[in-house]
Amino acid sequence: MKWYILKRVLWTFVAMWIALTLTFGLISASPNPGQMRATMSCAAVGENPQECREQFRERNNLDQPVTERYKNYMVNMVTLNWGWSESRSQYVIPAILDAWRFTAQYAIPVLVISTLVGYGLGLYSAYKPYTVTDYTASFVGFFGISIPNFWFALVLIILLGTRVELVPTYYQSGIPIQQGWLSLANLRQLILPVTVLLTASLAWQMRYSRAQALEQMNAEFVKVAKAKGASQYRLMIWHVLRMAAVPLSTSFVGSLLAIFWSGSVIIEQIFAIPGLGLMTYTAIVEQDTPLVLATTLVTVFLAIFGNLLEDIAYVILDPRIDYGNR
Amino acid sequence: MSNDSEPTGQVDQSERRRFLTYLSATGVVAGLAGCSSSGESTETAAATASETAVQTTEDPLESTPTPTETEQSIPEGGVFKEATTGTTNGLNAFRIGDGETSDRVEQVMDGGFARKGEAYEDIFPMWFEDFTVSDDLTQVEVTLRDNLQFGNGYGQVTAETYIWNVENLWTADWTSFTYSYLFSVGKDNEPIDFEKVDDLTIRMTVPEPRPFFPYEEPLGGMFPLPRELAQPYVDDQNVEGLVKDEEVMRSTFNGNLGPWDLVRWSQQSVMEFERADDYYLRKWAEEDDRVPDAYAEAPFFDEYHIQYFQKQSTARQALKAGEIDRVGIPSNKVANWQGREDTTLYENPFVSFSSYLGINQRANGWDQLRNKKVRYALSHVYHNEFVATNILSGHAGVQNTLHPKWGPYYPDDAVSFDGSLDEARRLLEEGTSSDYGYSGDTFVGPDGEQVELTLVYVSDETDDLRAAYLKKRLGKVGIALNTTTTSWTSMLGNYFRTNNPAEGVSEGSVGYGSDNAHPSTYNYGPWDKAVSAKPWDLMLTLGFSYGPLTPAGTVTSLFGERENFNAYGFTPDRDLVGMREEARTAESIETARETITEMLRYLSEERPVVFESNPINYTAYRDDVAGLPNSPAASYFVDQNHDVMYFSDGKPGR
Repeated sequence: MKWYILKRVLWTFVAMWIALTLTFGLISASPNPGQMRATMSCAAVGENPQECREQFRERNNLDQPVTERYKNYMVNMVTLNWGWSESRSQYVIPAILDAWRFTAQYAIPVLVISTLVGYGLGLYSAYKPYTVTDYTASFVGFFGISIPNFWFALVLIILLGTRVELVPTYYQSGIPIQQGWLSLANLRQLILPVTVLLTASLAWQMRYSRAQALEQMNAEFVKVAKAKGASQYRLMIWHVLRMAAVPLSTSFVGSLLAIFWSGSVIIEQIFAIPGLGLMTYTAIVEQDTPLVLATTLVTVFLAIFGNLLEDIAYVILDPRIDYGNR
Repeated sequence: MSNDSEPTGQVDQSERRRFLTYLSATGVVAGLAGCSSSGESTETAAATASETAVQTTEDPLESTPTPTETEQSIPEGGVFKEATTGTTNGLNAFRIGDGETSDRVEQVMDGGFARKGEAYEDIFPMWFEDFTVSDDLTQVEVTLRDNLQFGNGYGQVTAETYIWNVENLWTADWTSFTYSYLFSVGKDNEPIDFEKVDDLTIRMTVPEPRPFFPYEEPLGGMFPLPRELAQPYVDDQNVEGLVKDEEVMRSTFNGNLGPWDLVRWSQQSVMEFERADDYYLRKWAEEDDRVPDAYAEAPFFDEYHIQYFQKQSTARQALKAGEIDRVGIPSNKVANWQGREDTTLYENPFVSFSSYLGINQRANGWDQLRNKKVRYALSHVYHNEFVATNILSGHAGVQNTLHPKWGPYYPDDAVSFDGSLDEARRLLEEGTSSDYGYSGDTFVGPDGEQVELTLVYVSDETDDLRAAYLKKRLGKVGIALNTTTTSWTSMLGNYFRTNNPAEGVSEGSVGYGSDNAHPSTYNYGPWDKAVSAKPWDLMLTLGFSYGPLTPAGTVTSLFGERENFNAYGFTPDRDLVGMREEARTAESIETARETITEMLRYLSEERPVVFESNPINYTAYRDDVAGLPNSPAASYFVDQNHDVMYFSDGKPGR
């Protein structure tokens, strides 16, 4: 297994390298707007556009052989010199470092809560299928899946924010900076975004885990465990969940990215949270190429790294899976 | 003027940059946003003329409490929060090209003066203690106050500072400064002469008498950079480094030059300003009768926040919940905000902003748009009276040229259209080339396919309605409309800038004439050579803010063939620049009137864009915000200036 993990880690780096190389290819093949601007600006003051183009290329090392440029590009990527974001007037890496905390503060709790509660409810529903509890949980699940995030968020803002004034209607980014990320004021203003995101992701986790658990409920090893007098708790957690968790774990990274792409972009727009979702949306709309590239690469890296963790998780969850010879 | 100032302080601070023309958006800004806010916002952008019917002689500062009353009665404290949906790239004093950025910079730096009336010297003096116009109208002399200090150890702002900026930054080719054109006059762009008279006095001289020059002199609206800060970039001619410099980008060199200091900027979230401790104007409130007494203590809030919202609706909910103190109200929502007890609705009918449907007459637009009859057809299709009445709920004044009806130069015989679709169809058939025509109800092109146009705009509540109306109406005359929504920044960069060669044109031959001139990135060359990065046919959202006192400059700048903002590629068959010069070199403003009105009439006839309306702006405030001017605004000079507003109990109700 150690050999397998080592190979998978190495493969992760290869996959990242491929992603970076493809990106370099796309950038190189695209027209360079900076070069065009520089050339035209020079022409505007009566200079030779051809000379200006050459000067620009020289200044930006575009006159170097492609191998040299590729080497510089890779060095820049590895050293996190990812360029300048026009839409935010700052360098890309500080932009990401600024934004990720605002997303992580609600995305991580949502992921943890939806996983724990979603799996718990799913298991319970599977253990007692077709009961009132199961139907109630299913109703909640379908409601969460069906209701559009943006609409639900606006309704909650009007009801709980404006009418009852129980929670803030928008996110104030100064609060975590001044009072702390775990301050009550910050947690309070996260209630609505977390609630909205949780409805969708919790429902999804619950329905999926229920389906997986139901499959395992009739398996031979469960019957054996029952026959041996295993308690309800032990049966569900140690036997059913462990087996159900194998396919479930494959969806973990997918869930995280789904929360980001389908949830954060909308939630952050509505609640004015300056996180990765809003940043990515703005970068795309404003065609801020370095920032779009960066957010895309971060997603790709996250997916690659997540897949590595998932593969390792299989082995731990199900010892029958043996990668020893692979 | 008396030692007057009511705490409402209706000094038109947005007039600081006076008659600079701005690219502006109709409805993208929810809160106060200077000139760019236009359509759905609140702030006046420039001065109107005294001849207009609505002009008032009332001095907005007249009903001022006595100094003692003022000092005793105005509570201080609290955080004033304003909502905006407009994005900005910071407080870059050197890269102001839109009203959003201008509005942010004006929080931390005052600028020369604010105009209070049509008379040349009727100003509210800020950085400029004196503003003197020579009798022969060839010179303007300004004298700086003696206590203007840059921050970060950059020293005093002097005449030398301005002259250095003129020579090294504002007129230097390598900087591509947006307003460099203001530093020359006349058809041949003769440079204005800038002369240091003494340490604090600058004399600007033009070659011949120009009655509008006192309105258009460039220095009053400029924000000079400290020499020590900019010198390394000047030496290297490194404009990229200059605009990315942290101090420039955040204007943190502002020292005591404005009422607020930037303390935190969280991108795409909030800009937080705190009350400047050493605001230079406080001293002058005591020593200069022309400075209202309220400025001895202003601003009265501890902090001022500009909170960014992606959605206008969320911003309005935040105001209802008491979490925001000021937000712009779109025309179609005004009824919901009238008569509320917890908020105050302020109405400003004097907004010098023109909304219109832009028409791309460059090579990457539909080529038939260069035909006037097609533009007439579009004027029937996109019927401005319908838009003003039904989409803007009557909260706008219809315009048939680039000037509000309440302005001093609106032509009585401006051409209008009645919205007839039959007439539109006839004009389309007549106005397009012979290979276009109707096939049944469908208007088809040379390929036999239905004509499809592309509309680009920034989505918001009213512009979505405008776009839907246009799509429906075009559909009725057999033309399909594809709509593309984008952001304000992208609209400017990808659609309004034209610094890309048209298909088949080499990069080096894009400019005008033998010298390959590029008036600006928005008009980088002739219509058939320079185009936007992305193709489009029609454009909403983007309109223009301007000073009604000087429409000749705005008309020319926007529609003159080789002028800075003619991104539309309109080619006038009259010499607009010549007419502008005729007006500008007339003996007096009165004698220039006929020429200016004629220019506006010509635009009305040509319809380079489909003129729509000038908005009535509405702003909702929490009811504990005091110091607002009377609503509706009494004149064009009345401003909603938060520098002299306050919370009635000294703290926000939250």
